[in-house]
Amino acid sequence: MVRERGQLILIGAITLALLVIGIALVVNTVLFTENLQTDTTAITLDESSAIDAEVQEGVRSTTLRVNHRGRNQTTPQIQTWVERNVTRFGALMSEAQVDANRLSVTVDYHRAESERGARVVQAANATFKSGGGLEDWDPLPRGSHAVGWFVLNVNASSSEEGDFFVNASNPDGETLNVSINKTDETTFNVTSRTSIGSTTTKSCDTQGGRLLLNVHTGRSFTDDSCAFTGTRTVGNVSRVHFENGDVLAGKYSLVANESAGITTVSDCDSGEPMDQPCQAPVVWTANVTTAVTGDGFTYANDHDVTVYQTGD
Amino acid sequence: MVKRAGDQRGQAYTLESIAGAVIVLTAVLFALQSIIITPTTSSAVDPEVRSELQQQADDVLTIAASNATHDLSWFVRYWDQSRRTFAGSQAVNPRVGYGGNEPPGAIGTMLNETFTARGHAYNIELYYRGSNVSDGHGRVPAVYRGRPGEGAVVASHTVTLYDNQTLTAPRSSNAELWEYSPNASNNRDGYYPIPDAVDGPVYNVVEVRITVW
Repeated sequence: MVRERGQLILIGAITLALLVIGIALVVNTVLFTENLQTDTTAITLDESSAIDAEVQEGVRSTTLRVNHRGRNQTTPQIQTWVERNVTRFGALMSEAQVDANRLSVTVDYHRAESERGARVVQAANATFKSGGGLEDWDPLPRGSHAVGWFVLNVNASSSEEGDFFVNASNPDGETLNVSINKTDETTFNVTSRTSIGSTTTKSCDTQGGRLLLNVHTGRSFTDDSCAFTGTRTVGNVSRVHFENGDVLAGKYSLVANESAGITTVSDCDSGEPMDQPCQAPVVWTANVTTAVTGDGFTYANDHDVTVYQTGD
Repeated sequence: MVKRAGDQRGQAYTLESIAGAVIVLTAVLFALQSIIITPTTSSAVDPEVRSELQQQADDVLTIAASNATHDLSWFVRYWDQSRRTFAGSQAVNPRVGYGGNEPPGAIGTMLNETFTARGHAYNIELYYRGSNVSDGHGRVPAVYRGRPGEGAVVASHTVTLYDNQTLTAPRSSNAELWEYSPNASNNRDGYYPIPDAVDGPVYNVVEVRITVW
């Protein structure tokens, strides 16, 4: 009888021990599952952050292209076009993210919070003289603005030999002087002298009879080896002066963050001819709210997307 | 007395059977957990290995997207109209894209070093939006190396194309994207499978999806 009781107690103890082990395993399973769930949420937030960056880059590129599409728009028109195209981009991005990550994306453009800029443009081939026929003049007079875009599209056959100068300066007194000199029908010499670095001279080739110079970044679209100091390196360039505007011929475009308009050129929407310099409004910074919505969370952010860079 | 001893033996048998059941259940539960938790050093099913592959695939796409000369937009536009697949001598055919060959540019080099050299396989697919909302999305295989294995991981990055961009393949014309036709039978305008999805300067938003296993 004692032996039977002993057997009973032994089996009871084993049962109890196994039950404890079983419970421990079940609890462990629950904890393991919870940990995995937290991991998934963290990964999704990482994805949201990456998507947010992709959206900002898309808004920047889209706004830039809308800004430069025409030149006769008014400020309300450019705002409407930017809003419309940013919305279209946001819809496409959302469709892509639903497919890729099961995340919904919305992009809302706020025109009242977005900053305005001005684009000085000569859209058809002509010399680089002012609207009044001056060879030495300021397409961008000194003021509380900064250059974010500066591209020259020079027509080699219409240009003459001799130096054309672009003089730029910023409020700190730093200066840049870029001279462009046609050497023959396919080559120009570009020399940049700056108060913050050394002087460089580059021989820059044309393509299809055109020399495309990005004076802001100091690069040529038509010759990869043509690199010089640009206005972006000087930073916050607030004044641009043309000298010997009768030497070169072609088109150009220059953008600055100027809410009050630029006084040296007329508004393009007033019927200014295409071969005369004029100014058109652009969106300088686009204020957008991006929201990434997933299963049980929303990641929203307000951004002032900088469309143009004023310095390195 | 006899009756009491029988009762206790009955209790003992009951407890023994319960203990047996618990042992069997615990063993089953333990075995199931072992499959999920226990790391097998090189298996792609292992969560740690999968997590590592996922991170590497994400990193490859992020770095490729920010490459100065050959970014993901360049890769998406590296299209050969005459062969109707991606450009370069490595391209096999429209069904598998570059197939078992290394794709060009920074993305190809990184994928080769990160995955192929370590015994992993990958596919690259481009998913684009249709011309109309009702069209949904379309797919172009850039690299197809077969059906993904168990434990495959997926990483993706979106690329926005614009109307005024051009194809990047050698000997491409200067035609802008909007000038091409997404209709394969249209030889006059040139064929590019990704259509212009919306009005305005935006052309399409393309998802570059990598599946690694």
